[in-house]
Amino acid sequence: MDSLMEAEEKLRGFRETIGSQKLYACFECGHCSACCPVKRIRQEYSPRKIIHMVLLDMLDELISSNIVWYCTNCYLCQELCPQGIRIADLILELKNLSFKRGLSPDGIRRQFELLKTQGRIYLLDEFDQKKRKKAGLPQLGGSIDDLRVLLEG
Amino acid sequence: MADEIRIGVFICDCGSNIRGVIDVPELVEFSKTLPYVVVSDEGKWTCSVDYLSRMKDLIKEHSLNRVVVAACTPRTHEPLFKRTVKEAGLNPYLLEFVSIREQASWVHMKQKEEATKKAKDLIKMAVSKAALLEEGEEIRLPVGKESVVIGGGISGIYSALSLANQGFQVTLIEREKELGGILKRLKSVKVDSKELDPKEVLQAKLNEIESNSNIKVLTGYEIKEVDGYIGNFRVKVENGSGSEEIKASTIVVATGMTERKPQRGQFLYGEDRKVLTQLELEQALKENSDGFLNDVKRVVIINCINSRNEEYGCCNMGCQISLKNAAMLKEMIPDSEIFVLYRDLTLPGSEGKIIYRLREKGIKFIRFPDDRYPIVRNDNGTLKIEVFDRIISEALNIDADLLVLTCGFKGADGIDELKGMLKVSSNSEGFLQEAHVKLGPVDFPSDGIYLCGCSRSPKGIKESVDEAMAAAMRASIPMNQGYIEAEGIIAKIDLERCNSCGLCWKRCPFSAIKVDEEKRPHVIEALCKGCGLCAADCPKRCITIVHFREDQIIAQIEAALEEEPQKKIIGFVCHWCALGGVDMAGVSRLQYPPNARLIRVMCSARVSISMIEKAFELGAAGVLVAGCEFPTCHYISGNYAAEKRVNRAKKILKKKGYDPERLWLLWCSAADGPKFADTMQRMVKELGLN
Amino acid sequence: MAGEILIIGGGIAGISAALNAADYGKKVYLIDDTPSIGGIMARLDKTFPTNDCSICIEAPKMYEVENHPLIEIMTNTELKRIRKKGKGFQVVLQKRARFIDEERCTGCGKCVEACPVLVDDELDGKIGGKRKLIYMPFPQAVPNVVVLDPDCRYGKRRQDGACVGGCVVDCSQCRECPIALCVKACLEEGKDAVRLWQSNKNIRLEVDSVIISSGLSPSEPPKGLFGYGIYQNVITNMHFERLMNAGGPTGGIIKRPSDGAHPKRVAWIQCANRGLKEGLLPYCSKVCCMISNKQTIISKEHDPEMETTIFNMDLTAYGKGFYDFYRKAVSMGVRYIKAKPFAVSEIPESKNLILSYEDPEQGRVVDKEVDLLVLATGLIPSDRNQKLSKVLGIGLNELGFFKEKDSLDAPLESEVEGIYLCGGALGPIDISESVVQATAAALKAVIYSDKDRGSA
Repeated sequence: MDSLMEAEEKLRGFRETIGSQKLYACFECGHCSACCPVKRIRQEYSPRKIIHMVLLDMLDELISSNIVWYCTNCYLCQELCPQGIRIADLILELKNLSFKRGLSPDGIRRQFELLKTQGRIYLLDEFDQKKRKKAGLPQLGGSIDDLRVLLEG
Repeated sequence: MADEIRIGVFICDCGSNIRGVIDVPELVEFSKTLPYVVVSDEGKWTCSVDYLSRMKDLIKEHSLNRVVVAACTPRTHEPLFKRTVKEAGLNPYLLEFVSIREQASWVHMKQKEEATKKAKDLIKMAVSKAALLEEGEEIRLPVGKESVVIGGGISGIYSALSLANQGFQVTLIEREKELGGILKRLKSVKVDSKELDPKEVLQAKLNEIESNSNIKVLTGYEIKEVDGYIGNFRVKVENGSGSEEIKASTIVVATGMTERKPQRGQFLYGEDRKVLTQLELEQALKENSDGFLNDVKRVVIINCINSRNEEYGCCNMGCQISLKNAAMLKEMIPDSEIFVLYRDLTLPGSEGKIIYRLREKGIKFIRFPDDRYPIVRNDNGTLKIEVFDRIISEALNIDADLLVLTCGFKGADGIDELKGMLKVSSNSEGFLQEAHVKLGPVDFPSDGIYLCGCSRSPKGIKESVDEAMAAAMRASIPMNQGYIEAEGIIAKIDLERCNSCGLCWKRCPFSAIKVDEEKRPHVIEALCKGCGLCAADCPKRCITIVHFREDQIIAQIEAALEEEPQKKIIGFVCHWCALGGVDMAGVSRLQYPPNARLIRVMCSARVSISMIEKAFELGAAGVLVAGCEFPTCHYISGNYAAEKRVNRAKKILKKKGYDPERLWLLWCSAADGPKFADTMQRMVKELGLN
Repeated sequence: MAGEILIIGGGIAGISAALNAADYGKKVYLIDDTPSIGGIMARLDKTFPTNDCSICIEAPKMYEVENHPLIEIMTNTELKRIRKKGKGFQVVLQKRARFIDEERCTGCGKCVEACPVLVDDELDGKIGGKRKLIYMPFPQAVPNVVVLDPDCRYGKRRQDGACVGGCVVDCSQCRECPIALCVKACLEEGKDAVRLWQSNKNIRLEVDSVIISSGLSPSEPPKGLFGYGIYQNVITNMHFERLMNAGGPTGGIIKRPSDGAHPKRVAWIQCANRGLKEGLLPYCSKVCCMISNKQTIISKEHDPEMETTIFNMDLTAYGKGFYDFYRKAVSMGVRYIKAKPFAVSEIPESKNLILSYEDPEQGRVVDKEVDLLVLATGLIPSDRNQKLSKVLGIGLNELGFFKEKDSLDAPLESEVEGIYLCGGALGPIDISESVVQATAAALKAVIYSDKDRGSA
C-alpha cells in the first residue's frame, strides 16, 4: 500500500502524462460514452466515467478493475471529443499502468507471455498447421528472435 | 369650443394603394356632407413634401381649426402630420388621423364597395371626434440638479461619481459606518480574469469621492421617509444623533444585496464551526489568514445551497465565487485536497477555462443531482460528507476539515420598508422590480427614480459598474435638460364630482396621481402617460383623458353605428400592439370581412364599461377590445386592467339583456397580423354576420 | 448644446445609445451597414424571460429614433476612415447605393409586386424564406423604404430572370430605364423613386465621440455537425426563431424544411458547436440555454402535444427571472436530458432523424427519433469586426470581439480616447445587458463631448 506521499508522486507523474491528454478540459458532455461501440454491448462501460474517475484520483479503483480493458482502441471517442481530449490514449496509459502493477486480467498476461516467447499473441497449434498444409501453404515457424530482444530490453 | 368649428378632411390615394380599391373622389364628396366640414381634398401622396405644403395652404386659406387625415397608419405617420399642422399655426392635438389603407383598401381588396363604405364610416367617425377635440400641450415639470444616491457600495459609488463629474450635486447615503458595501468583506475580487485586492479597488474610488466637491457623503444614516416626485423629492435621513432632510430631483437606488445564509442545522451550518458560507470564509481569511487554515487538509465546497429551486433562482455569482475561493484555498494550502460539489457550472465567455486550470491543480469536481443534495454528518468531530456522483452513479464519502456553502443572495435587509417609502416594488427574493427587464433595466415605472447593481439582481463587479453608469445617465437626462416633458395626452380630474375614493391614485402604474391632505387626487401632469386606466375605472366618471375623452369616443361609436349597426363590430384597439397587429395584417394584405369599425385608444385600459354598453345599446353586432399581449403592455399593467374590466362588463351586459358572448377580448402582438385577421374571420362567423 | 456623436450600429444597443444621447441634448448620427436599423432583435420572435414579442417592444423605439429631431439615421452606411482632430474625430462614411430615392419612396410595395424574381432570403433562405430582388428588409423597417439587390443592379441576376443588367449602356449613363419592371411600377404610382444610377456617396463629418455598437452574429455550425448541411431537418436556433415568427417565412407556423410538415417531436442540442477543437467555439455564449428554453415554451404554447427535448450540459440561467423561466418550461413538459447526442442519422423515407446519446439515468445508449433537430449554436463576432478594428485602430481580443480598456478603471472605453464600446461588439450578451451598456456608453460619450467636463 503506497503512503500518501508515494501515491502523490505517482499521481504527479501520471498527471503530467494525462495533462498532455488535456483531460482537465473535459466538460462531461457524454459524447465519448454515446459513441463507444463497447458501451452498446456492455452498459456499465463508460469512457465518461473513466475520465471522471481519473480526475477524482480514483486510479487504484480503475486499474484494479477490468474496466479499462474493455476498450478496443477504436479511437472513435478521441475523434469525436469536441474538446480534443485524447481519451483512447488515456485509456491506453491506464492499461499500461495496470499492467505495470500486475493488475491486468489473466488473458492479457498470457497474451504478453506468448508475445515474449513466440512473437505472437495467438497460440499456433496443430489445427492451423493442418489447414495450411491442406491449402498448400508452407508451415509457420517458431518464435522471432529480434522481437524477444526488444521485449527484454 | 366658442369659435365656429371648421374641419378640413384630407384623403390620401397612396398612389394606387388606396385609390385602386376605394373610390376616393366619392369619399371627398361624402366628407363635404358631414357636419362642420368646410373643405375636403384628395392627394396622391399626402405625405409628400408638395402635398404637405398644399395642406398648410388650405388650412390657412379656409381658416381650418380641426384637421382629419385619412391615409395609412397613425403609428408611423401621425407625428409627421402633427408637425405639419403645427407649422400651419394649429395646435397639433386638433388633428385626427384615420387609417383607410391598413384597415380598408389593403384588407378588403376584392370588396371595393364594402371597403369604400368602411372608409366613409371611418371618416365620419373621425369628423365627429374632431368636432370635439380640444387643444393640448406638452407639459413640463422643472427638474433641478441635485441627486440622492441610496447605498454606498460599488454601484452607489460609481453612480455618484458619474453624476458628480457632470456637475450635479450628489448626496451619497450609506447606513454602514463606511462606504464599500460587500467589497469590504471580500478577500479578493476577480475582474477580467485578474484577481484584485478589494481594498485597493475601493480606496482608489474613495479617493476620487473625497476629492470631488460635488459629492456629500452621509455614512451611518438610515432612510426614514421619502416623499415627492421627480424634481421635487424630499428624503429624510437619520443617524444616531439627528436627522436631515435632503431635497433632490432624482434618486438612484443602489442598495445592494445580502447573502442568504442557510438555516441553522442545514448542512450543520451554525452547529459546527467548520461549516461556513463563502462570505464568512472570505471574512475569516481577511481577519485571520494564517491561523484559520491550520490543520485544514481537506476542503469541501457545496454550491447552489437553497438556490435554483421553487423559491430562489440562480444567484449568477455562485460558480464564480466558489471557483475563485477554491483556487485561493489551494494556493494557501498547496497540499490540500479540495472538492467542489455542484449542480451546474456556468461560466460565461472564456471564463470556463478556469475549470481546466483548477482541475490541473488537482481540484476535484463532483456533480450531484438537482434533487439529491449532499448529506453532511459530524462523526466524532470529523465532518463526513456523502455526495451522489452523477457520473459514477454512486454515493462517495468525503471527510472534510472545512465545509464552505455557496448560498445565494437576496435583497438588502430592510428593503421591504424602503420600497414602501419609494413606492416601488420588488420580487419575492427582495430584488427591486425595474420598469422593463429588457428595455428599461435601470428605470422604475415612476419618473425620476432609478436602480442599479445588486439591488436589481445579483451580479459581479463589472456588471454593477456598467449599471451604475447607466442609471446615472438616465438620471442625468432630465437633470441636464432642466425639465421633463409629458405628451399632451394626460388625465384631468374634475374635483367637483370626485368623492375621494382613492381608486385612481392607488391604481396608477406610474404614481402620477397624488393626494392632498383632504385626500383629493391631483394629477402630476408631467408624470402622466395617458393610459386612461384611472378614467375608465373612476366610479364617478370625473376623470377625462385629453384627446381620448369619453364623449369623443362615444361620438365615434355613434357615428360608426348610425347606419346598419347590426352588421358592424366596434373594435377598440390599443395604439401600441393591437393597432400594430392590425397594421401588420394590412401590410401582409391578409383579407378579412369588412365588418369592423376600429376606434384607436392609447391603451386597452382606456375602454370603460359605459363605452362597451353604448355600442350594444346602439345595436352593434359585437364589440372587440384588443390590447397588447401579456406582459408587453406599454403602460405596464393596462392590459390586466382591461381584462378585469371586460369580465365585469360581461356580467353587466348579461344583466341588461345583451349576449355577453358578443363581447370579445383579444391580445395581439404587433407582429401578429394573422392573429388579428383570424379573429375578424372568427368573430364574423360566430356572430352570424356572413 | 454643441457636440455630435457618431454611433456605429443600429441594433438595440445603438438605438438605446442614440435615444439616450439625443435626449441628453446631443446631435446623434446613427449609422448601420444594413438597409434598416433594428439589428438581430427585430428579426426574433420573442424575448426571454418575459416572452415579449421582440419587434413589438423594439419598433416603438425605432420610430422614436426616426422621429427624434436630434437623431439622423444613415442606413447602408459604413465607416471608411477616421482621424483624430483635436479632441474629436474627422470621419468619412460611405453610404452605399440603395438605388432608391429615400425621400420619395413611401414603402407602398408596388415595385416588389412587379418584380418577377424570387431569390433565397439571407436570413431565412435555409428554411424556405424568399425575397424579391427589390424588397423591404422587413415590414417594420426604419426607414420604411425598399432596397434593390446590388447583384440585380449590376446585372448578376440575369440568369435568374432579372430584367436589369447587360444593357448596352450602363445605368449611370442611361438615367432612365424603360426595361426595369420596378421602375415602371413606381412610375405608374407617380413616385418615380427607383434610381438605378444612384452611386455610393461619401459623407464627411466631424464628431466629438464615437460609440461602437456593431453587434454580433449567430454562428453557423460546420457542415456535417450533427448532420447540419447534410440532412434537411437539422436547423439552428436562429432558423427556428424565424419559423416561430409570424413575420417569418412560414407565417409563424413551425414547418420542417423537408416536407413542410408540422413536426411533432423536436429536439434541441445545446452547446452544439462548442469545443476546443478546430472549427468549434471555445467559449460559452451564455444566452443559448435561455433561447432554446424560450423556443420550447412558445412551441408548447402553440401545440401542447409537441414533444420537446433539450439535450444540454450545464444550464446557464444567470439573469433575472431566468431560472423561473426554466422551471416554467419543465412544468409545461419540456424534457431536459444531460447528455450530448453523438450521432445523428437520417431515415431516408421520412427524413426523420435518429439521435444516439448516453442516457445519464439509465447508463445505456439510447436511440431517439425526432422530426426536427435544432442546434443551439453560439454567438460569434460580427464579420464587420476585423474591418472596423483596422479602420478604428482598436484591437480585438483572441475571440475576435472588441476589448474594453479596463473593466473597472475604464469601463466600456476602447484604447482610443473618445471611442466607446457596448453590446454584442464586446461579446455574447442579452438584450437587457446591451441596453445597460449602451446607456452607460452614451453617458461616457456625451461627457467626453462636453470637453470642459470631467470623465464619467
